[in-house]
Amino acid sequence: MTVKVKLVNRRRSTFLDRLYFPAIFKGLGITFRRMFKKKVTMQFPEERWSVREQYRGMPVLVSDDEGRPKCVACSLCEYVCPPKAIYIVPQELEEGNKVERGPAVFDLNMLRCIYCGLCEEACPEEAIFMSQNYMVWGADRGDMIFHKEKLYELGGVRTEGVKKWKDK
Amino acid sequence: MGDAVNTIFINGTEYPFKPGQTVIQVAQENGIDIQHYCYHPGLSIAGNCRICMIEVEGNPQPQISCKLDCAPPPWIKEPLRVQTESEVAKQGREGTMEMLLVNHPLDCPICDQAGECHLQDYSYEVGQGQASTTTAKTKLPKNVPFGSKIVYDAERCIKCTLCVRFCEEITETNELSMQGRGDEEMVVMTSKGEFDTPYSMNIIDICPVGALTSRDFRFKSRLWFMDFANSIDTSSAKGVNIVTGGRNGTFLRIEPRYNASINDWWMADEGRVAYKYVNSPSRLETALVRDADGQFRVANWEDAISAAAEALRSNPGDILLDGGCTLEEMVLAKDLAGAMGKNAKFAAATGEGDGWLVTEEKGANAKGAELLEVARAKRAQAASVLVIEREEHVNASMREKSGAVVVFATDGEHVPESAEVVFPLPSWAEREGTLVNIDGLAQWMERNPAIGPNNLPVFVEILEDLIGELDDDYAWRGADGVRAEIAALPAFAKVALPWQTETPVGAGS
Repeated sequence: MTVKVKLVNRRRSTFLDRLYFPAIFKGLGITFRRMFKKKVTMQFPEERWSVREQYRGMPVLVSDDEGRPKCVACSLCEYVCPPKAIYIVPQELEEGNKVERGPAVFDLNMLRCIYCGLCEEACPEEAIFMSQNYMVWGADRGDMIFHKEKLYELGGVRTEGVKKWKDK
Repeated sequence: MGDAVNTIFINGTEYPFKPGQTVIQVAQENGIDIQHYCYHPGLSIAGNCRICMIEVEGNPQPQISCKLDCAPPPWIKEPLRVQTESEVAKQGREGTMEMLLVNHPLDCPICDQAGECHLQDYSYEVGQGQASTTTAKTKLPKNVPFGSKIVYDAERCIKCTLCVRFCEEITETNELSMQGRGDEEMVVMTSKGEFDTPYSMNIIDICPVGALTSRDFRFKSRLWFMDFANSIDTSSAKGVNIVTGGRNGTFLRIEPRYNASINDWWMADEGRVAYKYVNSPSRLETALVRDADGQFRVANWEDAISAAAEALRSNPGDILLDGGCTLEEMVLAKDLAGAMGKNAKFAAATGEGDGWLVTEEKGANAKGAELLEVARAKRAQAASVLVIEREEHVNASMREKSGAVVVFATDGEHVPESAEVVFPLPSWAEREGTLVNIDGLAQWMERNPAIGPNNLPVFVEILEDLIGELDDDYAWRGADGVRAEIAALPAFAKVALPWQTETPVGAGS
């Protein structure tokens, strides 16, 4: 197969181009013009962008208004998660809890999460939600794996939705 | 009665039936699926779940197919005509389903049965998605222990009485009974004491819903994460057909598999918990070779095999096999012993049997060894190669007294002091091969890839490599070549070998 080559003749710089001053003044002109327009940048992290309600940030676990952690470790989010970011080990909860089962381990690997929201969609207990938190950071890889306690802390309390186990 | 009706029309097709058969039995034989909960082919027919509704032509009401005799009354000379998918049949099933779901809790996310639950499957097929009642669901006891092995949940129970009938008809111990009426009805233990009979856990399998779950498997894993393989129970020599279930290297569950000529649908509880040692934290994962200073160091397979051959050349002796080794492994072990001019023997424990599915012989392939003329080692004896998987077959004193230099062990704890080279032995769930049960029935054992450490070598390949090192003229045969040899042996002339027959003996759905 032959490849067609098209030669482009570049224009040689003129004397005026090689002085560079006209270009500098042209650039400064743009800068001065922008000074009097509305700013589009903000001073993160002091100033923060407010996101819409349906924004898909980091997934978190929530408790109901009685403070009961809602997750029952059914592992449907683990199953549906496309990048396999969720790891759950179920355990039996002792007598006195409204539900028999809960997670012993709930690890969410935020290096893997692709923010697709399928976990929220699959959850039959309305226990996992996509939060509005877009600031996910960690000093090393271990920090980016969020454990159960941290996820409940980030999720807080949500009062709306089902309360399936309230009479148990 | 000369011209008695002996056929039935199901969905317009004529099928023959044997006297005494009910409609659901004929339908199942011919591959027509009729939903059922309380019907079990191994138990008496109760007909109390009402989900197997079919339409009988000429009859305005749907009828239950599990108890409907295929033979019409003697004064009717026409065969019965039934429809399983007609409007009347469907309405009957939908109505029954709605009634069953009125008090069934929405426990699926926390229920171990989810994924293999008949109620879940059928509610997906014929469920309404919307209930006509709005009353609160009945509250009944949950998490009730039935002995130490079973957990009962009265809310999930659909009162099919399968478990009660199992205890009445199969074990004949009558531990369970129904109590109460209407929506308060539940299964209770009749004996105040324990429900720990040797076959009690079978009621977990036959329970169509999650009312009876296993204490051992409780909340360990969801079913859809697990891999299953058709295997053979190796805790006794009966050759009970089982399904092994594992996930991510962990052995999680054993359930029985139907085989009419051995175990029907059942298995003993002893075999169900015989997997624990496979998950031992001291499992061997690499080959170990003893250094000049007496310490074990990790070696790659080639080095370990040549070190083992070296050790055997300077220290030739008998081979002591675990009684659970397959036919293929025993043949190769015999050849390895032959290359050293010695013999292969096997050791297997004996214990209590119950005359049904637990035999006194505990070596799963003891009969196979007999056919292959591998002698039984009755007491401790000297050997240079030791293959040990189960502690009970080759006990500690036998291991130490053998003075074996090459050891194949599943568990690192089982390696004797004298060992020079140690190979990790995959457990029975991780090996494939043929076992001959105590009645002389050869069966295929499937490997479950989800159980055990990764990258363990195949035992028969290591054995062949060792023979190749010791015998320069050895021609590699592979497992298939070994199987062809076994088939040609006169002792196996009358044994139906599973890899030769398309459907193994007694196997069914």
